Amino acid sequence: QDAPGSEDPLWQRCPLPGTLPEYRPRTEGAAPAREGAPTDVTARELDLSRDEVTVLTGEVELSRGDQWLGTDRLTWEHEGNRFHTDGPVRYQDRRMRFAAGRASGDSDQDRIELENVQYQFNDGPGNGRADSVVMLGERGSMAGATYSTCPPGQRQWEFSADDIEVDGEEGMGTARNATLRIGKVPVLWTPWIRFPTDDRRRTGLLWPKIGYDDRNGFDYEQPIYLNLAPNYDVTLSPRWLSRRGLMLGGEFRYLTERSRGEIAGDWLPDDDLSGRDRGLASWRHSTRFSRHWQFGSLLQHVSDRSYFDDFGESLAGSTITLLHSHATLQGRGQGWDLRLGMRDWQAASLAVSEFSEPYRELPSLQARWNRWLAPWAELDVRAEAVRFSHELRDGGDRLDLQPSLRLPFGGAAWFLTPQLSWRYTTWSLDEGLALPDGDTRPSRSLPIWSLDAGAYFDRELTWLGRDLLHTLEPRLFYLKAPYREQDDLPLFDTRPLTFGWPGLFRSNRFSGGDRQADADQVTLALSTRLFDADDGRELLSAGVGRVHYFETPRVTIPGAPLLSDEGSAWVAEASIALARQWRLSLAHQWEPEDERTSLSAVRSQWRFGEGGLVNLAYRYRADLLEQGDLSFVLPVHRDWRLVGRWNYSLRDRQTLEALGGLEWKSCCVAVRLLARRYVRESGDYGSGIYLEFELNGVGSFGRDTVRLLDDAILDYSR
Amino acid sequence: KSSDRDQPMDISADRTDALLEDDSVSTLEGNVKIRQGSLEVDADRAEIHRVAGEIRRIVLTGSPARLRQVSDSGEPMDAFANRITYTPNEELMLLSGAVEIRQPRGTLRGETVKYDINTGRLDGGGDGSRVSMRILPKSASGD
Amino acid sequence: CGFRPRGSLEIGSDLGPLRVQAGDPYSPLAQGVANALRRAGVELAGPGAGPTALLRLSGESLRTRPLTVDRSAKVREYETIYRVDLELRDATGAVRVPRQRIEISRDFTYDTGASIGTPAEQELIEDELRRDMQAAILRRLDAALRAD
Repeated sequence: QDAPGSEDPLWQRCPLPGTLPEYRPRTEGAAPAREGAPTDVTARELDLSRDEVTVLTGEVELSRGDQWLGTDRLTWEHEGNRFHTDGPVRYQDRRMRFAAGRASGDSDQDRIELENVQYQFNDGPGNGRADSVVMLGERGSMAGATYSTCPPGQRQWEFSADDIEVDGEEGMGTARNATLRIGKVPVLWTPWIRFPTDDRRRTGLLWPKIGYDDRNGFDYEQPIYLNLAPNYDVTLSPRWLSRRGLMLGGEFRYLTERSRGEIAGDWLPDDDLSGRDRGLASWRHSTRFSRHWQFGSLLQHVSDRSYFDDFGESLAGSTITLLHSHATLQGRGQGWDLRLGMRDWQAASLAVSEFSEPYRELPSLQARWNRWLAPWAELDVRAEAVRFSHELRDGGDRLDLQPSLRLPFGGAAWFLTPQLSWRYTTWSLDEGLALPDGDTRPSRSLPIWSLDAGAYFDRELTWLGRDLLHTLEPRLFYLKAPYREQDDLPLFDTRPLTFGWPGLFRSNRFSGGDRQADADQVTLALSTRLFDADDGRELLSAGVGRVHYFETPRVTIPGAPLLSDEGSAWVAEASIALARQWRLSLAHQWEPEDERTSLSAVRSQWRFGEGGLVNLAYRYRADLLEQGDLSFVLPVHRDWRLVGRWNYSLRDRQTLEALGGLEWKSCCVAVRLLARRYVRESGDYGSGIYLEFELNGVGSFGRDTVRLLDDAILDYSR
Repeated sequence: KSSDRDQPMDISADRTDALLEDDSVSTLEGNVKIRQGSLEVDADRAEIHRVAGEIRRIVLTGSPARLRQVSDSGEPMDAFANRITYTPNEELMLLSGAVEIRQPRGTLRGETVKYDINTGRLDGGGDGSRVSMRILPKSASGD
Repeated sequence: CGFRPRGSLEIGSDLGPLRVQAGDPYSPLAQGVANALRRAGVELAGPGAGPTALLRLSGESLRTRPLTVDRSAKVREYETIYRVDLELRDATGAVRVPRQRIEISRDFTYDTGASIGTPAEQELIEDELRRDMQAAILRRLDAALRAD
């Protein structure tokens, strides 16, 4: 969760009517120090007649270190190095600049007092007025002051406070007895509020998040950011849900020379609706030991399986089904790769029974080693040893070895790569999984041949005045693997792989190691691509291919899709981006024998104007789903944007998520109003209304709608 | 000091064309010195303009010419300029050309500076050029 | 129709030694691309070899997100999207291949009732995407530099 004030490019393009001009160009790099620096004054006239007093008149300028002051008449008392001006004065230092009615100061104590002041920060849009300001070195205190990041000419929001303390060193402002006005309407009163005056990370009250939805009722979350040290910080977020009670969120981030990590959690004791404690905890950590070795882990646990359905913020958030945890020591070097660790999954949705949770893999060792015996010969050995365990099911150990020899012959225009590999896999099973003949240590061993051959043809052509490179790439992939009886073997981490373009060139139809498909088949595929010859961008790529079975594969698992005898479905894929503003991707699979379409997907994106975006997609997968998805960001006017998504299931003839929002964004404030209706696990609908104010440079106030829109609208924030 | 005016003024130089008539411009050259009470002026060359026997104007030039005086309160002033024009009746010294005036309160610089000997008032000479002064902080202002 | 076998890869010709730089110095993609370039005859600059041609791979992101959800809020398809920004400058710093984004994605079905095997499929897809990205980067370099 970034601290507030991170620069959003949209704010920069703001006209700044009425802000104080820079009186003097600021020095690059570190500003000259003030202590011990002489004060240089220039004027049209100097009157030294009085003892210990010099009176300067006429375009008086005073400068010391990074401080600069300009006025018409200034009296300097040498006795205490004190000065005062009679008329209007302009003052600037490396952090702020002021226009005031009067000023006086003491240069030895580095103290300046200004009256009837207008001020402006040098780095950032913060500005305002004050009855009086006392600047003491890096700290300034303003009495009867206002603060806003709106330009003085367009006061959309403003803080007014009895006093505002500004600490230039820390880049923080603290207002006491402050009232926030949006336009003229007082919106919030707070006895004490801290806010950043530039965008360094700091402690501060982040803005509250306010929203309503029918799961949790009224939802008020108040994050507090504690910048404990340069390399670790904490964000605490007490949150009140009207229908569930008080919840506490927290995130601790830490960074050391070799490691970094985050510990995050949410805790809702005694949820009023479910009467039990609810919570989610996660710890992410990574340590780099050396060039070759690093450790990474993500440990997560959720209290119950309807947690995400109740608290998930977007459709992607509320439909999390499996919570993945892992801890892995990883080594990587030239020609070798090794991973030793643990992986575990927790069911996080009512739709996933604990029985169908994936097996815990502890320990899990994966190693890969390869060596070029010659420019045309590569030896490659993959090994995997895993102990699978499960609360409700019998487990076992599995060792899977796969040495292979690849002979990549070829030149620029062709390649021919025969490959022979041998796969040896052995299990050691708990009693419950023993094979019918009682064998608890089955093994499987088979050779796998493959021949991958292809050619590259191309031609240069100009089309619509552009130099293009057009390629044609035929490819053949022959795969031979003998049948091995595997029906009684366990299923620890195996399921049928989703068929698609990559499926044409895979040596196994199943994921994991428990099944190795038999095969006597050849894939014929043809790809063509169109490149912009100037910058190499791929304007179009399309491919069509199919696997032809010499023998119908026999290895299968319960629930796997039936294969036709003659061959796989035809697969055609294309992605087209002739102009930068729009791109189109198509995918289609057609089963010739059953004469039916098994997959048809279209996805298009069009970008226009200032951040305008429209996504339109259609997806059909036989016996599974047929949906349309329209999402858009329409800049309606310079400051107004409409956002929306409509995800409709044609198969069930019902809406899955409908979301509409309006965003008004000016130079310094953005107001987002979002309404959302979405499906829930129970089958009925959830709905929510979210309101968010984002005050530029001070953080957002109300529900974090950006994350929600990111999930709902592809590339929303890109 | 304001009492300097009543002191005798003695002028000395290596060479002089010794035209001491009433209406004349006499020129002194070679480490010209003028002393009058606490006022001390040193220059390479001086022109003394007399009208009706009275010195109206002394123009001193040097690289640079130098002028020292002590104010009534005892604050010494040490001034340098390429050219100093002293008009006794108006008690005015016009310094011009890389003017630098050193005082305990600070060092003052400008192109042309009018110095009213009586009141001690320094003006930027009114020809658009400005006067500047460097004021040292208390801790370091020993020199 | 004008097609003829592709000429030899021209990446190394006038660029001199080349360095591949990625956000994470040990990113498998950078090493994969470097090895592929070496096998394609491109001279790779050793560490600390002064100003050399620089292939910068930045903004590498691999993200799996739900693609389709059914009417009882169960995820039916996931999508894994792999994105990288690519830019090639020569030793003098002049841009030879302007900064551009390559994005490839694969989808895979998911059955909440049979979650076993899905993590292994996702891992296989991620490995395949890395290999495909390597090939995509080489194709773009070849297409852009060939026409110079």
